[in-house]
Amino acid sequence: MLELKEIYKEFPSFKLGPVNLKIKKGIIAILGPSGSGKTTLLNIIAGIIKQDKGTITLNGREIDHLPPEKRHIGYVFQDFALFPHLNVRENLLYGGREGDLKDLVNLLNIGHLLDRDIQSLSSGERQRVAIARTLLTHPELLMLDEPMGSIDENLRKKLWIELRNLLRQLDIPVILVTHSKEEAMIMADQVVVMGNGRIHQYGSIKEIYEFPSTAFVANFMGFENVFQGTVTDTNPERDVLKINWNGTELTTSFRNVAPGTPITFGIRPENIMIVREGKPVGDLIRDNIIEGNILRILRKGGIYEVIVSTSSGYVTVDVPDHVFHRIELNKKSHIKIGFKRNKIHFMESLPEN
Amino acid sequence: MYRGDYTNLNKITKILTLLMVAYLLLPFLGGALSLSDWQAITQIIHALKNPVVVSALKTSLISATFSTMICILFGVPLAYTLSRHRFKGAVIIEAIILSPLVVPPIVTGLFLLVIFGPNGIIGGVVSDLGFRFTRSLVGIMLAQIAVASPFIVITSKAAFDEIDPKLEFASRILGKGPLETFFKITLPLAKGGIIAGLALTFARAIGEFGATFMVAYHPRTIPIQLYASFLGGGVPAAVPLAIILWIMSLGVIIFLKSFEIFLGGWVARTKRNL
Repeated sequence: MLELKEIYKEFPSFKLGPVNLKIKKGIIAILGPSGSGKTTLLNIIAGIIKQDKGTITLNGREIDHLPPEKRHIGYVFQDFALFPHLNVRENLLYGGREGDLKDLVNLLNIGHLLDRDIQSLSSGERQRVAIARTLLTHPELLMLDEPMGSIDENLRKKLWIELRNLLRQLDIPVILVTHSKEEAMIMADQVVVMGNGRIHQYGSIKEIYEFPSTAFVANFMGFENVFQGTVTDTNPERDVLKINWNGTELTTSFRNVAPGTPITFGIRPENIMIVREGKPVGDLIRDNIIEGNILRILRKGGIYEVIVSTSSGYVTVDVPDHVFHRIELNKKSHIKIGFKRNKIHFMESLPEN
Repeated sequence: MYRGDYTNLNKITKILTLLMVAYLLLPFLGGALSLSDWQAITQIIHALKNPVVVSALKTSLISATFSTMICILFGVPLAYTLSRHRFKGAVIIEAIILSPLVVPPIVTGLFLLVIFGPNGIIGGVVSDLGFRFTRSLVGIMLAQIAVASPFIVITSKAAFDEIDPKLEFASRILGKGPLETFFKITLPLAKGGIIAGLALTFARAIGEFGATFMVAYHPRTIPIQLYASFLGGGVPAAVPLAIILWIMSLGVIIFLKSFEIFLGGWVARTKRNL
């Protein structure tokens, strides 16, 4: 188990931390845009960069004061960092023993490459050699930095599956750094979302998609409707919390938040309904009805993405094909939209770094 | 690479280039003319049998070899430090290392004499113990190292700069300590630059005259002996020694160029597809 406690690192133009993280087992993706501090965090865990503060424990061993060679961590760099003056076999045996070679060579299917020069390998072959070279040192933790970063795009899909199947066979925790949501989704059991040197959320990819904990995560995951508002009124008896969103009053279930508190909230596009003229409005959405003009309609897979311009801001609404055609939305310009109280999702705001 | 069309500017450049090369060939012409006299060969053979020349040859080879070794021992780690660590004062250190390239050797030699001469700060102390730098191989080496060391530092640093530090980190993470990493990864990858630096340092050391002249006139190296012979017997007396030194120095260039061709291929092979 890897445990990071209160890790901080300050550079002239970038600040990492505080990072607190516990990784027990399985494949964990550290997901975030470039410049979010993912690779810096790996370098701190590996001992390439020394943190300013904080402790790192690996399987009960405090490792933060140890040099990289004593940490028992495997690290596969983005460009694999194979030694160009050594052939494949020499690269593999650099940190490993001859006796362990056979099993890993079979596992990674690189037996036919052993006597080749590094320069003659394809990017996929290099990746397998780099992983084998690392695993030969029997690490207690495996870290991969953007494993598909130097792989041709059209090869990635195939390699994702191969790599995932391989990583699942290991009985050590695996940390995978990526900026690709798709990659995190395919490869990882759990996802850590990083932004601006901070961990914003740690959970399953499903949780992160559906309930982003901060506006940053919501934006990064493509959560469309993220808004800022102010709490105006709360009433625990009537189970009500009212929000002023740029002049529009929205209602949701009670939360213990003082009136006047600024809040960030989101509403998923698929949870917003079109209110049809002349039809009764359901009780549940009665509280949250907004009017607006259709600004743009985009066809996206089996749905239409409708962008509605309201007096408080733009709202994206996903309308399924059959609904779109039944209500002849393409012939309308002014519509009403609504959503249920419990579809308003609250997000935390992290203090600025 | 497409190098562009033929222009008038290229014509001028070509003429200037030819003139420059022609001028640089003049010493070769001088050397060839000196050799063309059939007597020259016998004179060289004669010189090589002369105990004074043999002694100078020995002094030069021994001092230049040891000076080069010392330059490598200190210069390569220095180059590595400069390449890998950005620290305050690095610019100043680099300027100090480059200074022997611009300061006239005779000036360097004179200042070394202030330190190592019989009345110098260090020389005085050693002199009391009965040893004089100014009449020893050590004195010659002090002069050669002071003048020749920039070459090994500059070329090695350039070679280290070319190596991705990630390869060194990879080695550390694979369980090797800093020293093992240096000898198994860094040094083999930098060997081209270091060997080039070694050859240049040796060539500079073996030809060193100005600083040696000031610090240690005895025992005589070939350049000093050449000068002494010239003073005694003019050009004819100096020519055999000049030719010996000339051939030795050109040998270094030939070694370097053939190594570069070999290395060029190696670098290309290493970098391809990386």
